[in-house]
Amino acid sequence: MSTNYPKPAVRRLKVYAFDPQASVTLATAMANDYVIELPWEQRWEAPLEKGPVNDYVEVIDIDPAAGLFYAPVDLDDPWLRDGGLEPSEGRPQFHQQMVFAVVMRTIRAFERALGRVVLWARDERLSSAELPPGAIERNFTRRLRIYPHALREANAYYSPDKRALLFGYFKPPESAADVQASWVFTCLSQDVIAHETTHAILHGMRQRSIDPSHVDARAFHEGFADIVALLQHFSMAPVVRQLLAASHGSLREPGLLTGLGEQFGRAIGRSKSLRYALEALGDRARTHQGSAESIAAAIAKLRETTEPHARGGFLVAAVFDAFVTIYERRSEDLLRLARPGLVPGNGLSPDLVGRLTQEAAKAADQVLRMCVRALDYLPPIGMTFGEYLRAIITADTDLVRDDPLHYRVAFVEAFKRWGITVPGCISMAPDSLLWDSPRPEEYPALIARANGTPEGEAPPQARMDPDDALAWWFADMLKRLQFDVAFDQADDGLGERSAESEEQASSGKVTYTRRDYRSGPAGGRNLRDLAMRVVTQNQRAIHQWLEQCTTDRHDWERLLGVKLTPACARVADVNAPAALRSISGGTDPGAVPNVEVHSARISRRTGPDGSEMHMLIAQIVQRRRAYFDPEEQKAADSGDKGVIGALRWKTPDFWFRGGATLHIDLRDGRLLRVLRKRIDDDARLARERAFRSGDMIAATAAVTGNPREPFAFIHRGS
Amino acid sequence: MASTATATAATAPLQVYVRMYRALSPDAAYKGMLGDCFLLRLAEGDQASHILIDCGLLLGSADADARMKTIAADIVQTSGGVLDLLVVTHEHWDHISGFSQARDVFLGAAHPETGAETLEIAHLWMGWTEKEGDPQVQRLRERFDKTGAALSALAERITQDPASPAAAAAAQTVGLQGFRGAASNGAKRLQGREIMAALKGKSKAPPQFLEPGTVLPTPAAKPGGPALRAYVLGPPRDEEFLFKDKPSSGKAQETYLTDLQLSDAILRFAQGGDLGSGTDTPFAPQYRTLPVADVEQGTLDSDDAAWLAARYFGNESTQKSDPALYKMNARRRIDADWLGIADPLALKLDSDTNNTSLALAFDLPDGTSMVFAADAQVGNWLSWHEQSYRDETGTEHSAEQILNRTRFYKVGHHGSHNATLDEKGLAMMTRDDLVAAVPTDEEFGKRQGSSGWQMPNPRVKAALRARTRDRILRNDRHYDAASRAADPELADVDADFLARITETDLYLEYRVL
Repeated sequence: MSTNYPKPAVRRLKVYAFDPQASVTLATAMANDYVIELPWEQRWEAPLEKGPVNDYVEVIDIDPAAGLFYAPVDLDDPWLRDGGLEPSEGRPQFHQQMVFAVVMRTIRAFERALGRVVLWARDERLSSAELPPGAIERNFTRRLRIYPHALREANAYYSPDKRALLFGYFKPPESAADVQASWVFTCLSQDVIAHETTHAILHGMRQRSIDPSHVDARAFHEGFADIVALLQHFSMAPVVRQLLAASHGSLREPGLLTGLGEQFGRAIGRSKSLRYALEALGDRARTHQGSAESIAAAIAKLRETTEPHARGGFLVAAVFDAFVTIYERRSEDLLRLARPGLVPGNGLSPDLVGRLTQEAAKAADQVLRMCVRALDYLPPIGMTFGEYLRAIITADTDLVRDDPLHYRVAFVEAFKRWGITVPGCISMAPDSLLWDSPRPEEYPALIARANGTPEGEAPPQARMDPDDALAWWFADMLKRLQFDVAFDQADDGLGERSAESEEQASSGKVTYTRRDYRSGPAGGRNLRDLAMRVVTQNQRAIHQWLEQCTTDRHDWERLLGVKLTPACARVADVNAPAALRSISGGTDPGAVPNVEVHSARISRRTGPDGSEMHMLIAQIVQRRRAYFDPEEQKAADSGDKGVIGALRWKTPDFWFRGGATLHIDLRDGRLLRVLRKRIDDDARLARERAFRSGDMIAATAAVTGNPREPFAFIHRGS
Repeated sequence: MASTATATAATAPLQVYVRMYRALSPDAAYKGMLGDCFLLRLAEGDQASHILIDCGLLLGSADADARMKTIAADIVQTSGGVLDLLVVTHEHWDHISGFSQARDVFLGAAHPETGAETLEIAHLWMGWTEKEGDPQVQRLRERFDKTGAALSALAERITQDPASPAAAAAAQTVGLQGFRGAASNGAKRLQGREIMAALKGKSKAPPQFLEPGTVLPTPAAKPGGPALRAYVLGPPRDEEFLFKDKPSSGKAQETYLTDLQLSDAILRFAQGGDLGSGTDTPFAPQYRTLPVADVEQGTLDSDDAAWLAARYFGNESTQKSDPALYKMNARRRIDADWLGIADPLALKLDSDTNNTSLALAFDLPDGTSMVFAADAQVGNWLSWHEQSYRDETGTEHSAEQILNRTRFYKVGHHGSHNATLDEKGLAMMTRDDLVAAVPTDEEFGKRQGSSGWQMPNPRVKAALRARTRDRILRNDRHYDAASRAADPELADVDADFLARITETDLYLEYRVL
């Protein structure tokens, strides 16, 4: 689009603040119109198409039950450039506009916190042999599908199998007194949209997160999605203004909380667990909080709660509790200043409410960022709520050195109050919750080799600090990686674009080509495509580097929590279970076990004091055959295929995964952190087996239906 | 009070034979029979009693009518035209089809003049779930029937209405196992109910609807004739157990039929409604100009239609140039996801019906017993242990004791994963001479459903093999020397087991005593 006028800063799109029903309720009608502002498409992004379709999402409005398509909205139509369509339940094109706007806003919120682009999970059923080596689809899905009218029931879900959001619509039963609409559209509820989008983003970041490997796995998915949806409310100033004015500036007022809880996801009765959490929060404000007995009671209650929504509710409550505490700290001076002028019976002055609204929005934004950033600080598989707390604290400490308002303490206290503990930590002080730094003395062979010279050991004055010795090893890895767009091959002639030829031509670098600078439909740069190819490229480079780390493998294995040496080299007796021939890669004792570089992302973040963090976050994992029967497990570990049978060797009861998330500072190659779940941790295997033997049979069996649609059923059952 | 096996001091020893019908044919494609039909023969000197437990085979089996008629003829011949007892465990086609397919034999009217019947059914046992007028039965039926009727209607709609694009799309992906296939649908459930009703009318003595925990003797032709003491293990009255189909830890993972329901919109669609018009759509006509079929075929002259077709269906050029991507795109379509609840619901209903199985144990005079689990699933099994069994002498028996002395086990639900309980089931069958009988056709089972059935399930099979030391009777297996040599699972089986088997294409018969 070329024009002589300056481009507007943002694209404005009208949406409902809650959902259409809120417009007919007096308390919320005033604040139900809202405008979402999205950044205009950049030079390196594809222009917005009808649908809407952009680089991230594609809205395709098919209503299969009705046998109809609804025409796609064109937001670039001159009539729609100022705010888009007016809110309207009866116009499917407005539905497309709203679902697009809320999804994009959620994506942008994640990108700001993460310091990199949001990418979608790959198609698990696609075998990589079908695709050329450089194809994006090997690792990612280009665009998330959005189907605003996919279902005819009170349900909406993210489908990992289709990488799609499916929204339902329905006629509410006449008995539902509070519903005054003749139709309810889940794609017109901000909470529902934000919740489902979060599932998709989380799945893209952690593709194994949908595995039911731990009782907290699905609960985390649900709870985290609710947190994101809930905190986003506080960025909508008109809504928050009204709530705060009614509650005299308090976020613990029971009326306000239950009001919000009732609105939340009302379209499909999604509010139950949240309402419980928020009501309890209100109770807590009145009673004495945080006593030892109440914490013990919370721990006991969390222990017996296994249903994903209910369990996720604890996480929501803990984070919301922390948020309210932080808001109170940020706003107490304002309320103190205003107190002399307060007249009992009168409301707060609009100016004060305005300032409080700002503080609430600010606090919500900071809490959301803390929660999102922590996702990078989790072990690659099988995380728990307690580990998530450690991740939040560590991620925040990395970026925000001093913490004058004690956000981190607020988080720790809140998690403690809700019974979320961190087994194995000496205390719940933020300092002791930090993830440990790697201990170089555990890897003596690597340190020694780093210090070695061709002639022998380096003289004492030339020796490296042990931490630096590890960094030196990782510097060797980093030199193979690409950290950004490369321009060195921009002028590569007129050749047709193809992933293969480009990479061959440019010695493995992913670059822009001459074509990308041409105008017209075939030209145009796409930074997001390039970013995906860079990630793929880096994953491959790290894998190649790992394959070359053939010396000192025992140290590498200790460091990464996976097995790298062939079974026969691992132990003297290859029949011993410790040989772990159950690890993927076959029974051949001489074969090198398979290792997957599950992800390799570069994160760039700027702290409030302007300090920058550039970090490589790599996940290295491995899988091991796992069986419910411990005897069979023993047989599998020693490679006794006869006991297992060929069929069940190929498809074991489940795959047990282990590995590590590595954080490497890109300024000097220092290994900052290793978050490990060892593949040979038999105690963890026993716990996972116990959990799955209850859950997995149910998951694969008839009632849960298609195991590829875990969220469809979780949401239907609620 | 009729005499029981233990109380009978007969001169000749009681002989007990279990005949498992399979109706194979040397040149047929099928190699087994997925369906239950067991004839128990009790012989004592010149007296004999005959008990038939179920008679059916899975819908879709080849030559079903002919096979069932052959079986029925053999039953008439073997029993001399009188079944002293017929046990019908539950209303599933693979347990009752024969009563319909060979209805001349089983349900034929008496000869108008002589009053003679081809096959006389002296007594009939069914579970309490068949008892008319029982309020719980009434309630359960309403629930089952409502769901069953809705699913049948839905199956019929999606298979019989190619004109509706929604139906045509759904037909590709929705399984609705057991509800699809022309005559089977609505007809099947009704036929099932009709068969049950007809059998109740056919029984000479009033049918008995057995309550769990009951102990009673099997009826004999004459007083003092051979009989066994029977224990009614299930179905449970307690609905916690009745609707528990899956092994699970914790109640939270259980799903009940009431939690699953077809939305009103799906019900209207099942009844023939068009969800794209009238009051079934919220959108005004001007928004309904792009029918899916027209978009797909490209018959509309509109940019939007072309754009949608390319986005949703993919274009043909990519199909050729990049088949993997085209396939991936096709997998992301959502043509029938809106009916996603139908399949789980069909399976759930099926499981719940299995759980209404009448599960019986029989004591033998030598202090051992036989367990016929029908298709009992987890909850049914667990409930056995919730009650004790008081016999006619006043002695209390526990389910564990009965399982401990079991020497013949009719495996639940053709060996599927959730119909043989481990800890509270098979692990308690500790006798060295345990024999298991599995009425199955493994190959045929694998062709059922979208991903195939495992009958037997590998885990259950491994456990059975270990417990019985390979003494397993299967409808899809042969026990002659040549077949044994080719079957590693029969390599080490003991000679006594083999000596007790009589094998024909029509049946496998095992001499228990």
